[in-house]
Amino acid sequence: MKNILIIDDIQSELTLLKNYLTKAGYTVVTATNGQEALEKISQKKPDVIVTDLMMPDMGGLDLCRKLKKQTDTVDIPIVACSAKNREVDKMWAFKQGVKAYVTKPCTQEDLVDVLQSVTA
Amino acid sequence: MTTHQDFLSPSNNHEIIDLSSEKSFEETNNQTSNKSIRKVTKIIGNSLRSRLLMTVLPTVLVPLGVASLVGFKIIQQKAQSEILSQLQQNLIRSQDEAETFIKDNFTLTDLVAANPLVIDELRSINNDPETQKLSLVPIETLEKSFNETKLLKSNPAINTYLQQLVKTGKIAEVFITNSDGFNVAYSNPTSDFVQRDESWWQTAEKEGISVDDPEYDDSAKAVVVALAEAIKDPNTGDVLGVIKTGVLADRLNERLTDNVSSNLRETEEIQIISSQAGIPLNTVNQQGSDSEVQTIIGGDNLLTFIKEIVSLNNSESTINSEEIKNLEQQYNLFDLTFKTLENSDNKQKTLLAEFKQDGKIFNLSTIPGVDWVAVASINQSEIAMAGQELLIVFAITAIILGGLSVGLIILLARNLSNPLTNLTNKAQQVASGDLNVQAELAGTFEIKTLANSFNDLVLKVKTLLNQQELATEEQREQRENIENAIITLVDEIEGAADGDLTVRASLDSLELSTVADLFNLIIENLKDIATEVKQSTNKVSHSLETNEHSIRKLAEQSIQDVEEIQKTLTSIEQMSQSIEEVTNNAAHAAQSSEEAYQEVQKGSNAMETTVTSILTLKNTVNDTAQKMKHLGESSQRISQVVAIIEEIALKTNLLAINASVEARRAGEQGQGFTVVAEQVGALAEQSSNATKEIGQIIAAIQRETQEVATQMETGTTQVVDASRLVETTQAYLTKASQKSQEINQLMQSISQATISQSETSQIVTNLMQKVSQSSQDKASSSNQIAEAIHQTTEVAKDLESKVDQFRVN
Repeated sequence: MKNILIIDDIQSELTLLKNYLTKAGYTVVTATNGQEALEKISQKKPDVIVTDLMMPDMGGLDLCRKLKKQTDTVDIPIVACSAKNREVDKMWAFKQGVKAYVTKPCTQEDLVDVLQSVTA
Repeated sequence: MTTHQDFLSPSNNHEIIDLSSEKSFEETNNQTSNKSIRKVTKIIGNSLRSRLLMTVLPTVLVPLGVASLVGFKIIQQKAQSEILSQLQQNLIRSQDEAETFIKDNFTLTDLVAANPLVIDELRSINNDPETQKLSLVPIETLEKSFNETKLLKSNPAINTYLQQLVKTGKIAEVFITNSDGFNVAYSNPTSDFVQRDESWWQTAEKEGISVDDPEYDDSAKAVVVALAEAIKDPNTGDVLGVIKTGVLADRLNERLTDNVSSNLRETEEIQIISSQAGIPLNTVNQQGSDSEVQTIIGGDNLLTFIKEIVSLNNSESTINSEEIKNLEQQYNLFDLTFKTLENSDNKQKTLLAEFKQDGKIFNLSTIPGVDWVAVASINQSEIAMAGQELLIVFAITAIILGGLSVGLIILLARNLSNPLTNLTNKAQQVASGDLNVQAELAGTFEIKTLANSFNDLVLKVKTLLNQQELATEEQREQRENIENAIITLVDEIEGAADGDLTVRASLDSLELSTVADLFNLIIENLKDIATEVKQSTNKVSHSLETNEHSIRKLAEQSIQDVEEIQKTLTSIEQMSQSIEEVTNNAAHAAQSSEEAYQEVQKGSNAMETTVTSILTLKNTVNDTAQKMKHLGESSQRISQVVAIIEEIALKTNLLAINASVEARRAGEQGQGFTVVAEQVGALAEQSSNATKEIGQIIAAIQRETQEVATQMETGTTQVVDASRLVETTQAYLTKASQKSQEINQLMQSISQATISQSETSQIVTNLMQKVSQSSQDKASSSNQIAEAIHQTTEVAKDLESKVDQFRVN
């Protein structure tokens, strides 16, 4: 089964997303900030990264850019999961190399659908 | 022209409501809606009620008017036909009355005639011989003799009976005659005693009854109708006598007054007219019946017509349309129609006629059993007037109904428009900003619905406004949030403007986090660039410092090189110039020797050509000599052949002579042969001549060839001498040519050598020029480099000082 790394600075959100994906049968690793995420990625390369965008210090897009600069992480599909729902936010996220965008609040189905489309 | 759009849109010119402008949305809305409300009020005030009235009123009043008019017309027609049928009815009634009147009176005479007292008296009188004698006496005599009493024999009982009859008032007088026409009894004395000369008496005696022409009786002041009836024996049926009654037409008056007059109209009149007497018996109108009227309505013209009608009725002939037309023309009548009625009991015919004359409508009916007619007439104007009083009734009804409808419609319009006006007022209140308004649910169902919709609309507007307020509140909050976020963002990243690239925009704001991220990315990239620039400027500065000295040295050296090269180049140029001179000289020498050689070559060539031509000449001479020899031989052969030909010619001649001799011998037959022989002879002569000529020619040829041969001999020896001389010359020339060729080759090699030398020196010169050029370039470029390096150093310093502004760690 696929390994998913979920990054969110808010614990409750993180738990919710983790529950969604665990129920759907994914193996889930979590991180609460970009730095931690980078460590987790260096330990084990996930199949997909689901990240919040608005986080202190290192935002989701900062992380995305970092990963896209490194050759060993450039191919990990990144799914943005954010409460920002405007077109400009999505457009910018896609320009930064995000592969899919899920608007919070989201259902399990939403997230799983997107993950399937990304990993297909 | 206002369209429904004017009500739908708040205004025709769609104003763009600028939220930031001082004029608030509500104000603008109020103005525009006030405008439209005014329009609506105008339309309702001016138009709805009046429009309702203008549209509904005609739709109500026009049919009402039309209906009234049509109704009136129908009623009028009915009234008119009613009048006409009434006229007919009255006529029939009058005719009935007249008939009844006559019948009644005959009933009276029947009674008297059946009275046994009267019958017995008449029997006795008729059977009296005295009476029978009197019948033979002339009437005048009898009149005289009975002048006093006018009675044959007074029977007081019967007289009294008759007088009593008169007293009943039904009759004016009554008298009885016997079968001879003598008065037997009377109610009052008559003017004559003998009646048998009177036509009524004769008719009664013959036909049983007679109705005499009525006459105006001065004493009675009335028309009197005389009726006579034969008194018959009940047993035998013989005529016993005649009873005559004088009935007053007045009696008929009463009946007519009672039964007809009351039914008559103003101008309606009925006359019972005796056609024979030409007088009216009764004239009936609204006031009653009168027998004193002497004139017939319609005058003599009508009387004549009546007489004709009566005779037509008696003649029992049918009347066709043509006759009707004739009658119309004759009596100046219009619309004449006839109808015949037949009584089923006594088969008596009644002729009914209807026509118009002089503005009157006449109905005419014959009266059975008499020559009387009943004529009913009425003025057409009265018929035309029929229903006129109804017109007023109808008009009043129509006006009342119209008034009622108008009132009702006005009421309705008011009922319709009042709620609308109320609604409008409410709408105005709403438009002026008061949304706590409720329209009353009054008026028609539609208006109630409208009011209901209006209330809904107000409610919707209210909720919308609330929503809008909430939305604007939300927007305001959002704006504030955004503004705060922007302030935060500016605070966070303004350091970047002063070169602090360590700043970072926080990603807390939902609205601006993307922008913040963009700024972060820009700052991050700027930071990278600044770091790189710093590093490279450091490197540049450093390397510049270390290299500048050596570069300068290099530049100076290269400048020295250039100078040296320049010198070398000058010496090389001089050398190449001297070489060039040598080359030129050598070239000149080569050219001269070349030219000399060319000349020798030419001489040698000429010599060679001469030798060759001499040799050729020699050969040619040899060939010619050979040919000459051959020619000699050939001419000798020809001489031999010519000798043979000559011999042949001689022999031929001999043959010809022989032939002529032989021919002569042959005589006549040989004559032709003689000619031939002569011709052969001639031929032989010609041949010998020819051969002689040929011989001469050949001799000439042989002489000439001999001369040529000797000349050729001398030529050949000369040629041989020349060729020897030429050969020696050629040998010398060949030697000279060899020598000059050697010189030439020598010169050429020299010249080539100098050419290659000069080329080489040219190449060297070019090379040196290039070297000098490049070293010059180098020098100038090294100068430029030095300059550039100097500038770079300046730039690097500048850059360094600028990059120093950025803090990247």
